[in-house]
Amino acid sequence: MKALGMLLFASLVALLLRSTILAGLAARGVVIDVLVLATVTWSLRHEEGWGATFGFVLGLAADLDASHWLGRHALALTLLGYGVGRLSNTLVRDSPLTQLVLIAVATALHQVWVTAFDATGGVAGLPWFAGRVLLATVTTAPIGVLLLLLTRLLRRRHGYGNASGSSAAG
Amino acid sequence: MASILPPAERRSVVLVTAYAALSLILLVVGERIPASGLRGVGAAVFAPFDRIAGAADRLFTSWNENTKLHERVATLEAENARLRLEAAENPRLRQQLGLTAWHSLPLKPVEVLALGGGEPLPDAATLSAGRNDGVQVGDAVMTSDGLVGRVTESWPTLSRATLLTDANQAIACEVETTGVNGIVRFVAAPRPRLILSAVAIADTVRVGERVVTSDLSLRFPRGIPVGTVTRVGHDATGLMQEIEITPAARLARLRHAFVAPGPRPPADGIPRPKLEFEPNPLSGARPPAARDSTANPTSKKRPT
Repeated sequence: MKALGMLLFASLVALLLRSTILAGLAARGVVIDVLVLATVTWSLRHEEGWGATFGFVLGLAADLDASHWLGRHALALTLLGYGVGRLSNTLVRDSPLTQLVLIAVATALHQVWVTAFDATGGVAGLPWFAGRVLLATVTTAPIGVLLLLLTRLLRRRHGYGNASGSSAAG
Repeated sequence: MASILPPAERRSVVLVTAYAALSLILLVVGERIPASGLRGVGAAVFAPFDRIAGAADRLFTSWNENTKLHERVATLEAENARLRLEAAENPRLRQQLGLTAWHSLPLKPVEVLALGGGEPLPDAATLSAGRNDGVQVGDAVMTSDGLVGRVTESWPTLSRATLLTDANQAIACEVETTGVNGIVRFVAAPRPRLILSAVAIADTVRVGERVVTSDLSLRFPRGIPVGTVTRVGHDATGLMQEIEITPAARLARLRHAFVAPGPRPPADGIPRPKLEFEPNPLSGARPPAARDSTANPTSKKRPT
């Protein structure tokens, strides 16, 4: 029950950020994929089952917020949540490098999938398409790692533990 | 496959398969699902949080904004004084030419609570007024700079506007100075931009000219600024012009907007716009519309 409450709260915060501050930034070209950031963070902590559930709930809410393509974000984030959750069992989750790579790959995959729905320009649109994916990736990944580090410092303990599942106090 | 996995992993596989299947079904049939009610619930849930976030944002930027607004008020006051003089003679001249009188639009100020939809550019906005405040589906949404979009969903206390950046939105527009007609739409690729399409190759359009909503529009009142021409080119066929325009309204930062009633379809005829946009309603300088319509009913007809 507590996990469900946390899931809804985290979704609410992510969607609120996306529809207010980040929407303004995105329109200026600074795309921070908060949906991926939240899904990866959640999946690293709660593993694949909850990761997929979080991705689906967050994605569905984002889809409802959009005018078209219901299920677009939900499908991508469900699979990302599941994938990252599975990987979190075998990776050192506290490593900033791991987090950087995970967020970067997840952002790139999500952006490719989402942008593909808008891509109507054929080959001529490829540079813009690639630029958008690249921009979102290089913006989201470092910011995500910084946020995770900051959260861990504020909480004064390791957030996720390592591959064996232990979470040592810092 | 699932039977060889441990129970916990098997549960996760079942879960993710179910979510993925549901998402795929939604992708296929989602457009047929009436999601307006769900969006209304979502908007109502998020509205208080959006207001708090918006208030914090405004507080943060209020100093700069206040300075800019003071400068703008001074400029507008000077312009207003000049326009009052011109407005005094304008009705008389329009009457002599047999033109219809200008009608000011009843603009309703609203707050933009949240931006949603597409990335990088938002394609929808949640507005702080709804059916109870007289906001109806089809109403135009604008800022003091120009057109922003159109109300597409209306709930009792909130409403949702589809912005110019929605690729499915098409607006009948004209070039202000020459009256060249075209259709403004948003194109996401190869890069996001507003274009004025369906413009005949023989028509002359120059960079820097303003594009406004057209008399041909069934959804928007005439004369609302939409943007400025920044590039003139040809479309893929080479038979029509494709003109790139910069939006007049700052879509990147919407906080306040105005809702203007769209043309309501008359009970006994084809829906036609009857309103013309007047950016600064000038009290006392406008002849009553009823007098014009009774004095010379034939003069109401506009050339098609």
